[in-house]
Amino acid sequence: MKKVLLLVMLTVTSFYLASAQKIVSGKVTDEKGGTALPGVTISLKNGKAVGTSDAQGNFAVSVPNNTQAILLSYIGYNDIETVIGTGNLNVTMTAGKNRSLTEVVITGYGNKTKRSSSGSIGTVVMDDIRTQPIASFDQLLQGQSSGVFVKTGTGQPGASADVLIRGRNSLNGATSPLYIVDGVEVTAADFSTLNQGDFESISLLKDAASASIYGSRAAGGVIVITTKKGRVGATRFNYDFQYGRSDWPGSKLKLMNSSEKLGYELEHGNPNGWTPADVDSLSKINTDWEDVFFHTGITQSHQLSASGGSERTKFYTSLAYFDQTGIVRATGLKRYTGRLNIETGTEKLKVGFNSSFGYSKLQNTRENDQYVGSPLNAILWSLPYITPYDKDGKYSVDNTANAQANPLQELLENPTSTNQWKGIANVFAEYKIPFVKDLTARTSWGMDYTQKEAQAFVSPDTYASTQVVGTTGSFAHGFNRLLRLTGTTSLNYKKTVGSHDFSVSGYTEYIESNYRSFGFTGYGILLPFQNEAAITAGTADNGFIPNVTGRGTKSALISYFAEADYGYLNKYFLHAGFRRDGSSRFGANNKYANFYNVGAAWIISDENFFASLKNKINLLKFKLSYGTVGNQIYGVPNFEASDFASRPLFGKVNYGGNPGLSLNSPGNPNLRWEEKSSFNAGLEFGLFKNRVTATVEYYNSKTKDLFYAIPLSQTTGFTSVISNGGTLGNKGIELGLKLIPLKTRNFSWTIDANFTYNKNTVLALPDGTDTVTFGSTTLKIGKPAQTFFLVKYAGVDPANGDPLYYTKDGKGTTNVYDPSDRVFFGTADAPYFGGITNTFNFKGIELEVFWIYSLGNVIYNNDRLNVENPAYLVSGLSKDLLREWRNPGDITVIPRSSSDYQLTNTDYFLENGGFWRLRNIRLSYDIPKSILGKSKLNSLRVFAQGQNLYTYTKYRGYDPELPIGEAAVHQGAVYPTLKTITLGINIGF
Amino acid sequence: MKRINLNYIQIATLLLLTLLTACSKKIDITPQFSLDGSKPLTSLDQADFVLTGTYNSFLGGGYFNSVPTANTAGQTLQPASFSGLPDMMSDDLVETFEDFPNYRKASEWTYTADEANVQITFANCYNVISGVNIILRDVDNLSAIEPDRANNIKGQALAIRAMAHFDLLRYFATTFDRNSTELGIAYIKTYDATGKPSRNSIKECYDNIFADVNAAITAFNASGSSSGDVSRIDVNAAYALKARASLYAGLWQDAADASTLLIDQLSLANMDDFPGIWTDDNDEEVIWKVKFQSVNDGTPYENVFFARGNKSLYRPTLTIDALYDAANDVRHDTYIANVGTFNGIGHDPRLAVIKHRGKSPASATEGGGFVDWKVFRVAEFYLSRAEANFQLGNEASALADLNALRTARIIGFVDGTETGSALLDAIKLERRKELAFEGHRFFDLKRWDKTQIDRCGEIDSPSSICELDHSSRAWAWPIPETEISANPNMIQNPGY
Repeated sequence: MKKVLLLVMLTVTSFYLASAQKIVSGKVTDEKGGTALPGVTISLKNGKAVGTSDAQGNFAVSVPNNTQAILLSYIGYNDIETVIGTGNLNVTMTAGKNRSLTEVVITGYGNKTKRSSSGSIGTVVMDDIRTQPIASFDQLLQGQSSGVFVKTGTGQPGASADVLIRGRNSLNGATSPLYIVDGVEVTAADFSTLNQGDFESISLLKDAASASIYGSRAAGGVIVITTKKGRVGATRFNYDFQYGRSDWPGSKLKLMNSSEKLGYELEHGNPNGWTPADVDSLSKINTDWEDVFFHTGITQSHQLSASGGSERTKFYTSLAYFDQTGIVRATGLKRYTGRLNIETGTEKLKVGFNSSFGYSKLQNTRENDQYVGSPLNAILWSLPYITPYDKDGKYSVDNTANAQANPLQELLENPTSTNQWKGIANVFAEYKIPFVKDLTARTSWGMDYTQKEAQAFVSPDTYASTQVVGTTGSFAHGFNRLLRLTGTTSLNYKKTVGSHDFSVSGYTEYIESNYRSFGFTGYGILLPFQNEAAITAGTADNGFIPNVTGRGTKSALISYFAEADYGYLNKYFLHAGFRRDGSSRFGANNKYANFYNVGAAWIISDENFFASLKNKINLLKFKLSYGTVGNQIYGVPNFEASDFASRPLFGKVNYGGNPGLSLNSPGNPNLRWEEKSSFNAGLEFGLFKNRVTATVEYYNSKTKDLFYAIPLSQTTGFTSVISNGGTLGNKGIELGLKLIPLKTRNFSWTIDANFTYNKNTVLALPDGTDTVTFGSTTLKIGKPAQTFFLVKYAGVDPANGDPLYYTKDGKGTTNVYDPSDRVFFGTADAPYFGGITNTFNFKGIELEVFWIYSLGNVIYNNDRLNVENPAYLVSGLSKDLLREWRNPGDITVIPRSSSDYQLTNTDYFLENGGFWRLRNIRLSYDIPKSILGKSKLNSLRVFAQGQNLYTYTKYRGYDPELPIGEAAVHQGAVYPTLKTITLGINIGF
Repeated sequence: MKRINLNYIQIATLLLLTLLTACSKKIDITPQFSLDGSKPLTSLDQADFVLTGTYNSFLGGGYFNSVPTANTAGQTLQPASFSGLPDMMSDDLVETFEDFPNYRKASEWTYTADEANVQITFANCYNVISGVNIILRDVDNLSAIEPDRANNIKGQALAIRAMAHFDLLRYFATTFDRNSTELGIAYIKTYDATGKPSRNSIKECYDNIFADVNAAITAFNASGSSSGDVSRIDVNAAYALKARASLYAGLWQDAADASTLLIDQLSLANMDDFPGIWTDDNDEEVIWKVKFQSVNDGTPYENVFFARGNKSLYRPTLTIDALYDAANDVRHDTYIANVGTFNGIGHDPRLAVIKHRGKSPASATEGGGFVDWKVFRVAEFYLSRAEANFQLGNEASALADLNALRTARIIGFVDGTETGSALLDAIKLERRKELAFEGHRFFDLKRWDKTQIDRCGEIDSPSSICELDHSSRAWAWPIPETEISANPNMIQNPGY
């Protein structure tokens, strides 16, 4: 049906004739230097671009007869509106970032002026943040836009972030946004081999109406990235350089020193049988394992880029190198990237090619687990009276009952590394169909290709070696590749008739994702190599038979969609969109799904009745939208268990040297999409000549048919089956505020702040269930997802040292732990968060102070449990245990060590997870043109910046931002966030 | 002009439409690395693969596996529910300071309905059962071409079904009385992913177990041949299961008869060969064992003694160590070693269970930990027949079996002459010594009228709870909380 409709609309609109035109010409120059500005975009007030200035800054554009003013915009300059008089216009532009007049927002498959947009779209200008020395650009989004929660809880170089847009929309499906780079879908969390220095802007499509056009992939919101394009004019070069150091941030979790630990052991049965002489000598050793592991990391980056072009052909190209060593020894990332974007064509036909390629080498260490072999756990669990090296300079052996692996040896002798190659490319062709004015056909085909090669060496002398076949070390080499093709073909029609602006587009899209992996692990590391050469050929006798693995999966999506926009008097705007997706992931009954969206915007400040207020309130806009989006990704992508979750699958297993098949899941042929519907209302306003601009938005979304592992009776052979059921709600308020409290000729102060409150609520659960408990968290109707459900700890009975627990009603206490006494606590997802940037500029000296905050959540601190449970007597322990109950009458919260220890499932380890962090502070100086004078330099900027220099939190651990992953409970092995100071220089010539 | 315009648009639209229809087939994708299980099994080969897959489930942590696997989501506990765990819960093992207290709730009997180890065991046993129920659903339709092979597969599947249910009963039943009307476990005979069954009575469970075992024996006999592969269940293993279950049920004659069939076919190992049973150098006495062939398969007993890291997490109690005539009893040095001071520091003696430390180790503290788990070996049935005959009043036969076993194990053993209760005590003592660290002790104590467990005399242990009373609720495990909430028909055990 829809195609017929489209045809009719195109037919109707093509009847309109072009209205009469006139020519406007002039020259545009820089206000200060008077130099000509090439490539300035000239547009009408409705945002429609009509031309650009040439290399000498001259322009001549054709505009409708009734046009009274034109807008000029140029990157790095404030927008300006110029009234058309008679004769040539002479326009001067001033450097700045005020793009309020012509700001274009990328709406995904298209773009429109911010003014006419009815959706909720956040825009991040990369130039503001790209100097932050972080390898994975998603981390940079933190605090940049309201509604976008970014968790970056690891300092491991190259690690990605957890991004949640407008709350948690899924329990078992993907929650991360869809990432699109130049029209190509790219894998989320796989950004360490992408250079954000090439990004021009990032659009965050937050509401369903904006994201709906991406259909079944957009429930987590969409992040649309456009990369830099060439600019008309002489070729310009830029060189950016940065160098700096990183240190570890410190921890509030304090461990016993040697004499405390030895005293504690003697008091509790002396498990190691220490003699007084042992205690004397061991007390003198005090190893600070944090000092042993952490060192100063070095970051450096270089980027050389060139951009230029003629009216016909434009190009942008860059080469970059990024090298960061982590604060944990033997970790780091080296990255080499390049990009070429080129566009050429005639008035009628335009073709373009965007490509980036990159290679990175990552050396990392295990994170976020409770494994004794993880060096980052060993920092806490190792004994203070053991040294990392013995007298002879060899790795020392822990001779105690603890027998903790020497963590330094584990870290340094068992290197792991990942080489990643990534290529993202797309080609497009755009053709203005002759005979039908304003009708454009476009096709774009792109790929995201990622190839990883991982190596893990286990040295035969290490603890890890005791866990491998043959206990004589191992070498594993794995390889995987993911190729995703995205092909989009469209017809777009744009037309202005009098006061009416129309635009209609129809699309088809095909996306295919293909994953393969293989790898092997070889054993018997006897020869002195750290590669394949070290492997001993396996026989039944020596047991060194290598293990070979491999798997693969494939999925595809086919879509048809359309959207239409209508504007009247550049004041009233309507939008509608529709998409139909078919996915290979679901059973025959539910293969296809439809999504739609509608929106409207009204510029109230342009109404006549508003005229009296107009000198105070420059802009007042009201917008509304409603739409639906879906989520098709269940579980871990690129596994057959996810891509074919609707089917029961027999997987390969082995027994006694024979292959067998084991049914892994019961399958569910009715599995279908998660569907999110969302409402958005917003006000945008500008006051006092745009000294104050603000956005206030309210949203309310419901995601139904959640992917949900419905618990089965385990007598079926399975604990659960993936199904659809339950509803999650997210509603919230977003504020965005830009203030210019002070602005004089030489000094300005700008505040850019955002705030989000998101209320997540479980609205329904399958089968009329009210409460489902997973370990320490629960799903309860009316409470947020990830709500903790634990017994409330009531302290210690002073009489006997027993731990006391509150009973369910909270009135009485008992010394018997009973899970039925569990009550609800806070949630792991922060409901309040945002960022504040203060920028001070004095004659080109700029100080930018950027804070982020995240408040209102709780964290289960498992790191503490692992050093506070007295059962771990023989390993490193927290100083807190020194305060444990010893004698009747002792008042303390730490029970006697011999009690039945049941604090694990109480709120004792639940902590306030809120924090304020000075995420970035940067002092920069733009050397003025007057000083650069006749040198060949166009621009020169020097800066110094510091990251994460200060964090305010009550959380007792390395970092209140937990490592990424869905788990509400933080496991252990935390790689702390880096405190980094860098110096940099940007040169333009 | 206008007419031409329209044509262009129509052509373009037509082009789009063609593109769409051509593409819609592209979303029909078949998995390439897994078998789609939506349809019934189509061949005996497939049934055989699924059977092998079911054997693999015995390598699960809720059955015989003991290695916690570290992954990014933390660690998955592998309680080794029918190898290490029952011994930790008995008076044969005691926790040491070298342990991570992952199993303390089990070994101190403080488990509650949310205990992970209980849930893992429950799920693992039923996972085994679902695998064989798929085979039993389809095998009769596939038997036309190779009826003997079909019968063999069917025999194995039925025996496995009986075995897994019986093992569940060992933990979750409040009593082992043959005709008890108290709740046993749900006996599942059809594969149904939506079932919410209620618990059968203990009597009904036994009825089904014996029915399945007898049907298995019938099927094996019909298949006409025995595989001779000790890694798989054959007719002897079915008889072994029948003997064991009969002994629990107090069906003394059945226990004795089934034992006789086994004793007639397999003999006890001589003293030179005996240690080799435990390092997989030979298969003497073995009726069925579960294969652990590399660390990738896991290990059956490393949560007790982790030889690779020389950690004695649960050590043999001094009591059981003292029961053996260490100088003359071949079992003592095969089962237990003083693994010395640990890297120079530690306790003396520092005992460890070395019985399952690995294939062909050179010294007590070596071994990769992976070694086959001997589920049934003939020695058990000497003791079972002795116990059954004693209960039937055939004291002479009972003593004969007991002496045969003792003579096989102890150098210079002079036949004992026990009678009456002394004979029963001697049978029980020998059972403890012979089957030590094979996952029997807790269940035997439960079977013997919940004899109080007492290991309070042990020293150097972080464990403070050392007694399990006759009247404790802990003799029967709680039904997992997750099962109770998913299945309203499931009733909790008393006291939880």
